Amino acid sequence: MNDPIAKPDRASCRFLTTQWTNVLSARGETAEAKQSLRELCDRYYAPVYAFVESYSRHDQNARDWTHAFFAKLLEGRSLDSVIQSRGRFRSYLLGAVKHFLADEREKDQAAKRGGFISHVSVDQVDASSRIPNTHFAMPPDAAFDRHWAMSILQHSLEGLEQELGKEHATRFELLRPWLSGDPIEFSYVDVAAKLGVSTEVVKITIHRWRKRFREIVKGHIASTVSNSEEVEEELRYLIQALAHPTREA
Amino acid sequence: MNTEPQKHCPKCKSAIFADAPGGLCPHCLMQFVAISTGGADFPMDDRSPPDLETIRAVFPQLEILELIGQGGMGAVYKARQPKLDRIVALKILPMRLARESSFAERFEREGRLLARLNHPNIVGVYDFGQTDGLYYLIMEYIDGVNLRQAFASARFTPQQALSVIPKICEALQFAHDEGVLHRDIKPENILLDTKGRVKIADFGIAKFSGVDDKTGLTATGATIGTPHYMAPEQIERPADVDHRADIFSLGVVFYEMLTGELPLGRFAAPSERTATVDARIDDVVMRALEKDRERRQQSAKEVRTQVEMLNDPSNLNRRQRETRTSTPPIINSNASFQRTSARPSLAMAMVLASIAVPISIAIQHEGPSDKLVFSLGLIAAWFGIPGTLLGLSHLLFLQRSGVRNGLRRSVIASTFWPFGLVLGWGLFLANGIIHQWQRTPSPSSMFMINALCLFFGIAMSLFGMWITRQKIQRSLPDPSFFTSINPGQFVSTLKIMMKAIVVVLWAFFGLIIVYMLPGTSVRPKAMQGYLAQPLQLEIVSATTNENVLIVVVQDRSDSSFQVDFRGFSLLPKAELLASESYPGKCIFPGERSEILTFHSDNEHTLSLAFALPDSETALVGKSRIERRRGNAQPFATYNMTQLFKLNSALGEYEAFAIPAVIGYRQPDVQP
Repeated sequence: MNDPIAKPDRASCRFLTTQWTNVLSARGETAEAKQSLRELCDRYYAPVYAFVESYSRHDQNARDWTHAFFAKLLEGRSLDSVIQSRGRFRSYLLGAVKHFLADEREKDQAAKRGGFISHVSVDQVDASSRIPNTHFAMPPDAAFDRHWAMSILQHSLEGLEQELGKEHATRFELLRPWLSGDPIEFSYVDVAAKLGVSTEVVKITIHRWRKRFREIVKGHIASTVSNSEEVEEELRYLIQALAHPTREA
Repeated sequence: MNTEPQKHCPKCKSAIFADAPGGLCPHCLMQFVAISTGGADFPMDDRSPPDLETIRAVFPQLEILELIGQGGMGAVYKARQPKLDRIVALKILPMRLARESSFAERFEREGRLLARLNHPNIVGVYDFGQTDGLYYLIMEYIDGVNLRQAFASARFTPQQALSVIPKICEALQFAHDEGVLHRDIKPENILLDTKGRVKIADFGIAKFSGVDDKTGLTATGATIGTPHYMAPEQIERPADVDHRADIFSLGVVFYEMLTGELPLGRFAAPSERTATVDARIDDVVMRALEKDRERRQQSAKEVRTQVEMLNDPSNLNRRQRETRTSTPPIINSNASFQRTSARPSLAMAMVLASIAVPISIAIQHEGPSDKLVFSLGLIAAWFGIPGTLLGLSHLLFLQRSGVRNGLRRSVIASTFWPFGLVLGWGLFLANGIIHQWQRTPSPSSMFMINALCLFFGIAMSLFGMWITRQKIQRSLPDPSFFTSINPGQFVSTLKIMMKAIVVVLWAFFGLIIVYMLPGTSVRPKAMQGYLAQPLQLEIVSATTNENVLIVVVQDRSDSSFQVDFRGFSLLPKAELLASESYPGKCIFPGERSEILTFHSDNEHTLSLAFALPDSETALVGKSRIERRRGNAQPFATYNMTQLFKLNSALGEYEAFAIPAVIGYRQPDVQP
């Protein structure tokens, strides 16, 4: 390796930095816009699915409904009426899902008098008012937020890995735990020995990766809020959402 | 979806599911993203400082030479700035601080304050900031040892301690004036360079760690005793700490310098511990170590003044004479201080005089008289000015020295005297105005004088208030002074009060002299008269001719006057002879209701002739002699009966050989 200290290659990173409102308003009219929208949906598939699954109490059709929702979103039809697009993408998407499910229920009710969501009104789609499923300790809204946050982290990690390239894969694998602070169970001295580099190199590598990872995560978050001031706030919210997921577990 | 947690996060103990990103605890990961905004990005534990390699990588602009110290508040490296070719100290603050919330903001704010502390006895801060997650300060490099190291090599003599402490005080006072508390005064933070200069390091750095976190190891690791240097309130109520906590810490350092021990528990006075320590130092040290901060010295400057007084060679002989048991308070032992302390007392006396003079004039006399009142008023006004100036000068002295004795008096002298003056002059003015009303000549001049005095009083009072507020707010904001006076202060205050009383007595004595001055033995109250030019009437002779009493009155003043006989009750039997029957200025009131105006001649002699009654009541009545100038309104009135009464030569009546006159009524008999 020419560079003992692996620097993330920013050019290779393609994470979304466009404001989500712009992406949505573009409605996939151009090929590029279409791609952005698709990525956006791809990224937040997990939280939506988590919500639908929790909300429908593990109905086997949850995945189908999720697909249907994203299909509708990608078509860009009639979602403007849900929320007039300012604020956070997270809230927007959650609102859109709820709206979508309510619509589905109405259709369902009209068709065959009763469906999977016929017993729950939209107003009741609220984490606090809903008795949690025994199996899934988390209410739908919380599940959505949690998966949302994890999704951001997952994509950020992938983004960082991608930037670093294949030659640093081993190192990334070993040093990844340092991204969430100094791990208790490992020592960077051992890692340095394992990698055959000096501890200084390891330290500075960790330092740089941490810095970059932070930028990536914040970039992600920035793309889902309406202005830069909200980034920190959103970050705090997400930390909260991730805190102690299942006490029972 | 996941169902069972794979493992638990070793840090936050929450479950990590299979879908956790990168197998990491998502909560910790996200939290680290948030916390490490500018926080510690280097993997390292807090115990070991960043090594030279790391520091060199982070600070390419510096030549890092060596690690010179390390402790609870971070590691210090010796470094060189190649561009400026100077040696600096690079302090890296500990990582654990950086992880605290709001640290970045606090660091920014405090850093700027520290950079402003430019003082020869304070280690200067050249720069501060954050690079790659490391918070750093670039500071002046001091080539020398800290006090702790100095203690280790040799015990300080009291003289050495007395020479170091004032410098620390200077630095502390400077910083306190700038609004910066040190919060962590201890021997480790007091540096002595090779040239013997004293420098305080780590000013305010304790604040970086928040108020509570100050229990870290010291830089040399010599003691774990930093809490021993903390003031009681600093431990009990960390949020409520002011500059007096630094004074306590200074007291601990002082004590340690003198005795080599910490003042723990019920500790003995330094002089009891160490024979070479002068007993008078005890007062300074023990006061700084008071648990109640109100009882400590209220400023570093005060400590300095006290220590410097001990250093003063002129006190040495005196000190040697004194036995330990009769150690006087330091305040009493300094003559120059007593002198200055007497200033406000003198000022107070002058203030009293400035109030008393116009008031007494206003009360004693019916109205202001041109010359006397004006000159007395002027004296009163001029008393006020030195009063204020003395009060203010003492305030300045207090501010400079940091001593609080005499504060109250000087505040009163410089603030309240103008109020008093306004009060006195206000009365005076009111009196003057009333009098203007009654007499016509030159009212405008009197009015001008009075108005001028009032204006002067108001203007000075505003100025005095303003000045005093400025001074008090800046350096004497201590209301506790008024409740806590130590015995030494009390004694000196008492003495000064005595002096003040003497001065006041002198002022009143002066007033009495003034009161006697107008040259008449007539009591002003009875005379109700014109003080400047009293009508100096004297009965020259009184003779009878048949039934006529002729009284010759001489007026030694130079004005005309009027006699009003309307008040007389003459008996019907009395016959009034024609004026021409009698030579000279014999005048007989023709009718009882008549008012006669006399212009006294050059001799100012006036003869009054009255018909003598048979009975005893003939002359009893109210008559008035009205004094006037030109054709003006009368402005002084004499009662006729009193005129007679006032003649001390009452025996002359008997010589008149008119038993009826003498016998029928003594003049003091009221009608």
